[in-house]
Amino acid sequence: MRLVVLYTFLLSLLVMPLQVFADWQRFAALKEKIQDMTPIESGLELSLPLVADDGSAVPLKVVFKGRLAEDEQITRLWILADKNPNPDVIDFEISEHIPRIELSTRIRLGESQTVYALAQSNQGNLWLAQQEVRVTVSGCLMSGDDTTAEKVMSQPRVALPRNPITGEAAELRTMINHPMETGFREDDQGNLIPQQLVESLQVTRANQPIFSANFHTGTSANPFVAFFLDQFDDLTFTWTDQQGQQLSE
Amino acid sequence: MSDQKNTFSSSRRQLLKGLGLVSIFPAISACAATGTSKASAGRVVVIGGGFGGATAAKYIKRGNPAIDVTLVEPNKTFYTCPFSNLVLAGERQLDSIGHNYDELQQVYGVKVVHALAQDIDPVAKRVSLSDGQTLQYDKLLLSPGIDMRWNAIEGYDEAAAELAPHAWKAGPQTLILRQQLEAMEDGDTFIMSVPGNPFRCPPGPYERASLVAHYLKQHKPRSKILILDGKDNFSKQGLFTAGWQAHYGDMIEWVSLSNDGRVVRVDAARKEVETEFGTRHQGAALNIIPPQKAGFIADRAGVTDQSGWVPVNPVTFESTQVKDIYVVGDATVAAPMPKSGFAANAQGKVAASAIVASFAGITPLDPVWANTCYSLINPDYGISVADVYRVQDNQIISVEGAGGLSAADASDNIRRSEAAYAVGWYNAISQDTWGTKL
Amino acid sequence: MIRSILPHKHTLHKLLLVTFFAGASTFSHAEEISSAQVKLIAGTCANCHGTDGKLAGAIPAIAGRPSTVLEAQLLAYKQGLQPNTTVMDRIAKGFSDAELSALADYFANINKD
Repeated sequence: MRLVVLYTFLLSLLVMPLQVFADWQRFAALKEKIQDMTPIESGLELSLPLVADDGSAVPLKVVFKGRLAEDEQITRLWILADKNPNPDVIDFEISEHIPRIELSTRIRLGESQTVYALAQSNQGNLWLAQQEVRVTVSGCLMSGDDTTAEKVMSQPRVALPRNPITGEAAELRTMINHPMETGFREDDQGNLIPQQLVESLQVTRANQPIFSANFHTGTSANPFVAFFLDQFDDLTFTWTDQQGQQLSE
Repeated sequence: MSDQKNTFSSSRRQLLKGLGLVSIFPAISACAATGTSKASAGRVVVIGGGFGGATAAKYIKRGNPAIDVTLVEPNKTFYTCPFSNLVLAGERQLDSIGHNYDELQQVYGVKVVHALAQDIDPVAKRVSLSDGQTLQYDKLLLSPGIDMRWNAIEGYDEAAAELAPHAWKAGPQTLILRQQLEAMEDGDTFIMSVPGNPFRCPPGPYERASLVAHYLKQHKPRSKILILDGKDNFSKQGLFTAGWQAHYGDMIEWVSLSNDGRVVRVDAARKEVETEFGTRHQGAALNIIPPQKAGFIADRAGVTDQSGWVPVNPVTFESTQVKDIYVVGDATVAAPMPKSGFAANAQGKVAASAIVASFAGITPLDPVWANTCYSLINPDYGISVADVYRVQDNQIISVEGAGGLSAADASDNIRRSEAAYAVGWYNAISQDTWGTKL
Repeated sequence: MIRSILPHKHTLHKLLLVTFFAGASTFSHAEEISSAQVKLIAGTCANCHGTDGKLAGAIPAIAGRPSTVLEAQLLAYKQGLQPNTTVMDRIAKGFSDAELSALADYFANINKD
């Protein structure tokens, strides 16, 4: 008798995952991008900490390991958070010059929620990955300090791999200093502090765009993006803020 | 008949364990349990004799002296991380923060085995020790602390830690770092690398910088301290920064994550580090606090999740993955409770109470915990952060309206009082945990 | 956790008032706190006051002190009426008045030896 109960339960568990993944259907911003398509739910790997002590800079990595048809490549990748005031976190435009889809960044999560990664190929296929993150503020982490930073971009940084070999994929890191004011914060008088964001990082090689990251309110302050290339000469990195100001490296 | 039952439930338990379901089926797995419905004493093995384990062992005995408790701890003397920064500063000797297990054995009747627990069979409920012994348990409590993630920072492995110590487990590592500080020339730089969250004792690195500054100010006043941080803010930051400015001028420089503070590579022999964006720094003394994870025995027991830490039931601190294994202290995912000795001791008591209740067939009670983290900016200047925690909707929450930081504008007298209370706290918690006090 | 005794109507009204005015605190327990529950809560006090609150030093011992004194002290801390307090106010605010009263009683009845 117990056996029957056990196996019925196990069977119901197999059915459950389909239920869980269908939750994205209720997430409007994501549904808008997926429409009536059926995203492939394996191949795209999203990793974030299960518990984030501090929601302001949660490390995120997304890797594509799925199967692509001939001449198929991933061209777009979006990260969305279902309970942030603005569900757009960060998105990427990826050219065929990116040898490996392995992207790292730091994101903001306002509360515990599910983070989704959606990848799209030039043939219109979609891949979906998700992970729940619990956001707490550890008591000992109370910093008791609220410094208001200058709202302009500064200190653009690019770290190329130490011994880059043309043809071999290696990781580069980029970062620029900017507070990424979301427009959701209030000052001491209760007025909303106006939004001030870095909008994008564009990477070009010989003036040809090969990779872009578009930042949103969900991107952490001092936007950090790491990605892979296999050719490291003649690169230009341009950050643009909402005022249209640009800084290049 | 009973043999058949046990084999069947054993293999089913393997299947269940494979699916991570063991703890959901207490009824089915009851075949293999030794508890009965009437109140009965049982056998508990506690692994780890620090703030969590020693406290749990003592409080289980206080709860029911008939329960058999064996504590496994490799060290005969346990050196506490709290106050080890005073040893680094030359204000205390290492002995003064060492604790033995005499009271636990003589007064509370805890059996203490000085060996290293190397493996756990959660099905057979057996612990294998480094001295060849095996211990049988009805319930297991792990308080294994942390282990370092070697090579998470390129070049920082166990051998490198002998040259660029972490001193994030007190004892010999503390002495290595103290020697390096003593060998510094006036004008030299002390470099500290601090990881991102979560790690043991969030304010610890900054207290270390403070107390080393206290030492350097007196003996090598032209020296500098460089903190390279994998974070953009830290525990009690406002208070520390103000205290540093007041007492150490510009001796301490803190480089945040977004200013290229994250260390990605170490050359321990040359005491040189490289940060995320290629900046190199070299010091005369180098302290690398690497990324961490739960003590390895937690992996062996099957209680860690993909993060490398241990998720637990917030009311009892029983593992959510393996039944009859309780885990307390730094190894757990107990956020917002911090990874601190204070929290480990408090969790140890709650787990002890849950174990005693479980043996007696009683429902466990709702826990409430307080936590106070003291930090010394110098021996007469103390600051603190406090909190009260409860369980709500099966999660640990910090009680709103309670807790908080020391006042930003507190008087010198208050700072001095807090420094005195920090000593009082250390004595009290040591007495509560091991029965020893200074 | 299901408390065994359903509160009397009068207590229920008082309970509703208490929970309404409790503000940030969200404890859903009856006014009755079992002795086992108090003992568990009291465990956390030992971290500064020693096992059973018996350790005297820079931080005072609390075992065996009169219950009325302890209760008044704890409530004063909670209400921010105690000047020059460093941490007890921050901690006392995490407990209900009933819990503080029960804790005072608990420590008062511990033999000071």
